[in-house]
Amino acid sequence: MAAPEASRGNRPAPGRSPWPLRRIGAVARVTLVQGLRMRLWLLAPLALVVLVVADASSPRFDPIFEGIPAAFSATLLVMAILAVLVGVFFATYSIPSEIESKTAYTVCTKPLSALEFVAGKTAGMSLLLLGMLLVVAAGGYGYICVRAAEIRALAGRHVAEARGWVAHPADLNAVEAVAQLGPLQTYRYHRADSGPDFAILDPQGLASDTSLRWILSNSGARFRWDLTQTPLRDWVGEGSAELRLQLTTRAAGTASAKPPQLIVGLVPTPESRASGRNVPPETEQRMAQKFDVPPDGLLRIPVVMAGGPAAPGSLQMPPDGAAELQLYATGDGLLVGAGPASASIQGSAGKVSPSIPGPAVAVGSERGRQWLVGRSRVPRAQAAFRFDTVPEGELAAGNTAVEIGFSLQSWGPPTITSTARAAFLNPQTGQTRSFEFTPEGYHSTILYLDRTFWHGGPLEVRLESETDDDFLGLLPESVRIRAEGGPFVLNLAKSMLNVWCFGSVLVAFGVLLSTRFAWFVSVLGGMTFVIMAFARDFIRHQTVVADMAAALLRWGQDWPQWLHWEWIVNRVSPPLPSLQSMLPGENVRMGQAMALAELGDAFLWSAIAVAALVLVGALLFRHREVAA
Amino acid sequence: MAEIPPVATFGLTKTYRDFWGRDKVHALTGLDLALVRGEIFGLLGPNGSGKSTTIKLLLGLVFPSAGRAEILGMAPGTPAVNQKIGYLPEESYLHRFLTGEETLDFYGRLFGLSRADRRRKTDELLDLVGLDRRARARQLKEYSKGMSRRIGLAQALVNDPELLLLDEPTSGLDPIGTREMKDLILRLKGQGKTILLSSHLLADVQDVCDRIGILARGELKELGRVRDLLLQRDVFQVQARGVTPEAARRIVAAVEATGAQVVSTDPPATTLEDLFLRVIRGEAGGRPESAKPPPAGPSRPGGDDHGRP
Repeated sequence: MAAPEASRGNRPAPGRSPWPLRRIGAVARVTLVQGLRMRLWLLAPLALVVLVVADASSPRFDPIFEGIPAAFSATLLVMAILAVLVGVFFATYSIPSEIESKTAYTVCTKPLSALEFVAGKTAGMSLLLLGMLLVVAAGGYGYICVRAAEIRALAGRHVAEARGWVAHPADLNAVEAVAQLGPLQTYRYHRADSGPDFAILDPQGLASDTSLRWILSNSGARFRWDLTQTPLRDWVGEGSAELRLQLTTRAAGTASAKPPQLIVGLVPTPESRASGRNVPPETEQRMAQKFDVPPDGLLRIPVVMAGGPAAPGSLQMPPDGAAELQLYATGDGLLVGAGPASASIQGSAGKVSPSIPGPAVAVGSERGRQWLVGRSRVPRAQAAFRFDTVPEGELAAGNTAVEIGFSLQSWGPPTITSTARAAFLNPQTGQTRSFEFTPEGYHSTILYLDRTFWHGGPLEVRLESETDDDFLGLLPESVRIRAEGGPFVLNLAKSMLNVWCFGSVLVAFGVLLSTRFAWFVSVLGGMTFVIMAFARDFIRHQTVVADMAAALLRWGQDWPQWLHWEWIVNRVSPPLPSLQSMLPGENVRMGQAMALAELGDAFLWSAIAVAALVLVGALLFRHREVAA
Repeated sequence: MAEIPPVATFGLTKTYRDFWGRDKVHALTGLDLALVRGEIFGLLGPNGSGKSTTIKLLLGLVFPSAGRAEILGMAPGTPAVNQKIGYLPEESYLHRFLTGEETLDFYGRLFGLSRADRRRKTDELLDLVGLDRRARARQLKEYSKGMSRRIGLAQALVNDPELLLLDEPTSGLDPIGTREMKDLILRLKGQGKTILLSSHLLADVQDVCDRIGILARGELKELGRVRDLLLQRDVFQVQARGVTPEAARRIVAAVEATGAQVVSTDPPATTLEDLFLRVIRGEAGGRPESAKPPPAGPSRPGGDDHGRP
């Protein structure tokens, strides 16, 4: 008997809707109902109990400011753990359970494609996860509200007790705000449009010569001149070149324990360093020399080619000629000024270069922070942040908060009575308002501006350290305006959705594993995945581990690049998504409103990942013998 | 143009392999089969003979090692085929946490039925398989085996299929349920549906099937019409009521006078199933089996040839 050609593929039969959402929805609905009736959701209230017990029994150094972020973080962490559990244990069991119970025999003999089945399973498990997260979110929010009421009362008591002895009234601003408004506030930050711009305050009238720029000795600040476009290298090659620096110096007012000296160096430019044309350390040491400050301020420094012996009082030119001139002052109480014509080069036969561009003032920095120095009382360094304009509509209904964050580093014995000053300037009205406060290295300082003083528009914030021995580390985002961030519950909901997005990816991964493997293999695979991702995150965030690995590999510095630790970590890890990213960023956990764009990114990323995982899962399931 | 057979297999072979890919079990070997539209075909065989494997192959739940199968002219296991078939598994493998109504609603959704159609169909099918209102709202995990078979059959009929594949349809049913299932199968045949059923309960197959195939150790050993296969061509049987002993002696003498050999002159015995049904229905106040209206479909194939009163 001749048989007609077999028809393969998922061509819809007459009467079968080509639109798959109804079938996907049906499978998802049944998966969800099964999960609910199997009481898997009981895990959510159980997790909630763990959350409350763990958070309530954890001591807080500063409950007023740490209490809500800690409870919020704990809630999100419990959600993430739930997502991992659902992804690793429940999702990996979703299809094997149907196959073991042979329910799949019935379902798979219905007009349901493999893609619809896998997508429905994934959607159902994802909805189950969402339901569990909702339970945790609702319970967590209730707990946070209870904590907030306690914290508000505590803040009220704290203000009443501290008012008499606190160093500066402004120090109580933030606590007063908690007492008045409660701790369930979210913020949206406005970063300063420019800053920090450093300047030396000028009580001695130095600024009368506006052409000069100043650095303060031992402040980490230094002058920089770019020499790459000068004939210095050629003239050095001709055998005679001399750098001339005409400087202005002033005593800064503090008693000098050590005589001031200048450290002048010819150092490779940042571009030269980045290009890998590094200078050997022994050569680099010879590129900087100490000089006494001459009475007439004119410093004459011969320059020779690198490689020869270090001649006293001379500098060596970097081999590639890409160099900049740097000048740093040591000792106490010296101000050094330089202007546009301060640096020049003298060649052989009386040749003189045009003036060298500069100087630029580089402030001392460490890990991106620039240091505002409080070492010298007079003159004092000042950092300015400027907001070009802040729309009034974005500001909170009440007073407007300006948050100032410092990284505090003491010079010498740690000071416990630090004082800083913040001066606010309203360029539109010309009014200023000044606060003295105690800077803290860990917490931001929150100062409140009266709306009669400023209600949006431009604003300038000037910071000074009033204490001798403190270095205040500043970043561009150290001064921010806290605008209204919306209800706390909305932030919680957005954070929950963020966890759900990434949890859904885990669910899709679990379902993908279960399309091909038995349950125990799927669970093992899921657990391995999660453990590897955690381990990777752990290694990435544990500098001790990274340092140990780096030490082990240090002796292989000259090995090919692929043997270097960072190279290995960065290339081995990409297939694993970061589990840290399941949680919103720390700034959100600390109260910053989660941006919709951030949530949108999470949705987009997870949707793409889930779709890809479902497609692969469907492909695997299509070729699986359900009844084998 | 020749009519496309509802089910056709061409050298269909299935060998199960172990983890290392080595042959483990030869479940089915070279099955050639073609069903005729509108018939009831029975696959008979002892346990492990390949009946369930055949059905799984026809449903695309397992893939053939060799040969091929066609369902309604198409490759098995595709949504297009599944749209037109109904399948009752050996045991009712359904979601245990759904109620009867939810189960039918779920399968109705998979077939793309509208809400109104699903509701109507659910009521019709639950009535058809005899599940009362209380049973409909209970989760399947609370169902007895017989109730599970009934809801399993209902889900197989959700889409009003052209072809029904029934794996051990009377398994787990009591005699009343068995009879009702067989009656229902005959009614479905009367509606023009093609039915392929597998069973190792020979009486059930004999009662309802037009044709049977007997499988043993994965091979088709016998294929044909039930009546033809069971016919004892060298035996002639007359059944009559009100025959006195004297009349019986004269009949026997007359037969022997023709040269034929009388094999048996005992009164025919009814089947245990019929006896059970008469007793149970009589005790329960129900109508005796003989008083029930005949099934809607045509009479059983070879019905009165099998000693039924």
